[in-house]
Amino acid sequence: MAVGETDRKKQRQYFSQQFQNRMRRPRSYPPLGASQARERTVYKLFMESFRDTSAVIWKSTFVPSEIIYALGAVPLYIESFSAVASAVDICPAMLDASEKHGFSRDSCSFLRGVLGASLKGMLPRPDALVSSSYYCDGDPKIFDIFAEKYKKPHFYLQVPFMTDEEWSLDIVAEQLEEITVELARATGRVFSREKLSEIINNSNEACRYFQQAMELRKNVPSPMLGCEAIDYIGSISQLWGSRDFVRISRHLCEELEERVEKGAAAVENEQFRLLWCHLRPYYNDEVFHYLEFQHRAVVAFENINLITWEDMDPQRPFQSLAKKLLTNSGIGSYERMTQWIASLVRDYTIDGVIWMAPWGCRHFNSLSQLVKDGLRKEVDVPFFILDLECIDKRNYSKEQVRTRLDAFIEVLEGRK
Amino acid sequence: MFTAGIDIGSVSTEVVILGEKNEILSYTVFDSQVDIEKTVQEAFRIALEKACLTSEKIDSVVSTGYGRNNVPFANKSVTEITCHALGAQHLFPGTKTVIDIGGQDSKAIALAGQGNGRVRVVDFIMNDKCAAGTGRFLEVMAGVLNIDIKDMGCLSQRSNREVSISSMCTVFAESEVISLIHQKLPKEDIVSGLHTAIARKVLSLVQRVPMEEEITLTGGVMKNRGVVEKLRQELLPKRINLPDEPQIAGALGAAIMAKRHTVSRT
Ligand SMILES: Nc1ncnc2c1ncn2[C@@H]1O[C@H](COP(=O)(O)OP(=O)(O)OP(=O)(O)O)[C@@H](O)[C@H]1O
Ligand code: SF4
Ligand SMILES: [Mg+2]
Repeated sequence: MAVGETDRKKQRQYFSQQFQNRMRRPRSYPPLGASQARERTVYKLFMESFRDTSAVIWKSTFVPSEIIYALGAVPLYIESFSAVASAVDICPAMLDASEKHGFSRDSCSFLRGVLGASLKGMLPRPDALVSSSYYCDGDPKIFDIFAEKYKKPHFYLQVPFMTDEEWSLDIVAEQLEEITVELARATGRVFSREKLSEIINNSNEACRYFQQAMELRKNVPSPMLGCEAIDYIGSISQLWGSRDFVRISRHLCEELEERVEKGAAAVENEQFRLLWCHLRPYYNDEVFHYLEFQHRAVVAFENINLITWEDMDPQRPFQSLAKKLLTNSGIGSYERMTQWIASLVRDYTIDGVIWMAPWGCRHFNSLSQLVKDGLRKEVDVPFFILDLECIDKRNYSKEQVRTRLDAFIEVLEGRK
Repeated sequence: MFTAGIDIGSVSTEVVILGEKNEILSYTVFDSQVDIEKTVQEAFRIALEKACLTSEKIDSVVSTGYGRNNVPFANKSVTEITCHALGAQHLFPGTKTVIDIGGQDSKAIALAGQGNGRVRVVDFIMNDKCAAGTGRFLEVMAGVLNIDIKDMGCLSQRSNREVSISSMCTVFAESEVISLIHQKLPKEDIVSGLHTAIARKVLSLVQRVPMEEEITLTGGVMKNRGVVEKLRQELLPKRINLPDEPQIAGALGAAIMAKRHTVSRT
């Protein structure tokens, strides 16, 4: 696509076209109403970001979208664009573009993808950018490239490793407040504490429903496919604080309640229950379908859908947001992650853990063996590290993956 | 009761025919061709001939390896992880760990007893996408050195001043070897260096599963004495088992699986 960087109308049309195609794709399972609503909401958000009148703030994974909603701006979780693009199969051109720009094929494809999209002028222009030191260092670096390119300010959130220290909370809270004020200035929006409190209440409400929904997934047989559930996380990162997400979570909760009541199983004749760690390949559904439909091994839960924070105090919004951020299981020491995984294994009656080690992600790969060894001391559960690519389908070999999955399922069968 | 196991790997295809008492009646080793079905037919036919049997006499067939789903007459397909484990344990009942180095995969498999004399796989690890530390790596290097892969083991025994190979990427190591040849270094020293490199690479992978004695080595690369020797040295003082024919462990395991399959059917 050759569009000028500021030609939002053309970008909008192009994106809309891709999305319509995506929605018309043949599906191998009937999606839940909430999941469809989630897809439409994300689509709406992207469409919104292509409007000239919108203030758009690019954010990375852990930057709380609440502060952006509080300014009436559109939060765009920009790495998720790579996932969306991979799903609609427009990613190869983006990846090519980033390679031509000097980005190694061995580096993270989320970042390569979004960089390529920017080079090809596919992305809605930002008014400001916020990155954080978690999940990874690649993020702020690439955000710097964007800031330079779009001539917009880039704010950086330093998240300390010592998550449990009181001072960590203060540091994050202070930064969040500062960044919010700066964002208001950069986008010409007014920041009001009342508005932020309202947004915090939205998050609390959505969280209660979402947690309840995830609680319902403890049911055996599982009421929801992992293939479907894992897609919530990408949207969640940019929907916390919105009314839309309250509605989606409530809807999801109601649907799952109904399914559990009726005894409806996501996978007929469920044989095994798996815990899936990290994200997924976005270019196809093969891996999940193979597990869930061929082997009847339902992905009962995904570690990334785990919510670890308590209700936030709307009167102390920045402290609360800091706490929410720091309790995330992905942040901090590997022991913390190991403990969380162990508790999920128990709570969700898990037969086996699949730890997806994404290609080029230094961050997650460095955790793999530590968590595997640590978990061995906590629970007796087979744990398989699956090397897999999330975005770049050129790094995917169906047969190799199937052999590994088949072998893992044989391990689980051997324990029965 | 007679059963057959067929292992269609990325490089070779093996057939093992098992007799009443689980004894190996015959086996064949073929190159895997593009036409998997044809290779399998031929390997199976010859194995039957050697065992003086006809296909009607075979009660059950299990296929394994990358081509496991392309054997129309197989009763079941099982991955090579499980099959190598069963094969190794059949040959050496005390096996706790299997290291298999094949054409495109190297893997380690951890076993545990089940109490009924049978074992099960408790953990395994396989190399990631690249060919470093596999048979293909050695094949490419043999090509560059213009020697037969079968002679590598023997040749390396003559080395008395091993050359260190630093690169494990097949492409980079290839150019490294070419430059060593240009420096007129003896081939045996280069080959010995390659064996050390491959042994270290495989061990760095396989040591991620608990490496308990006894360790049994399988796969075509274990026919290379040089590689086996390096593995032994690195794993000292652990006890290492080497089958007479390490390449057929997968097919043997498949034939054993076929026996279980028939028993559970009847
Ligand atoms: N006689 C021999 N001497 C030395 N090395 C050999 C010999 N025969 C085979 N090899 C090595 O064994 C490798 C093939 O091993 P094997 O037959 O176990 O692979 P495969 O099962 O087909 O592959 P995979 O399991 O990876 O799909 C060859 O690449 C070669 O390096
Ligand atoms: S996948 Fe890894 S490298 Fe890529 S953005 Fe996420 S944390 Fe960073
Ligand atoms: Mg093999």
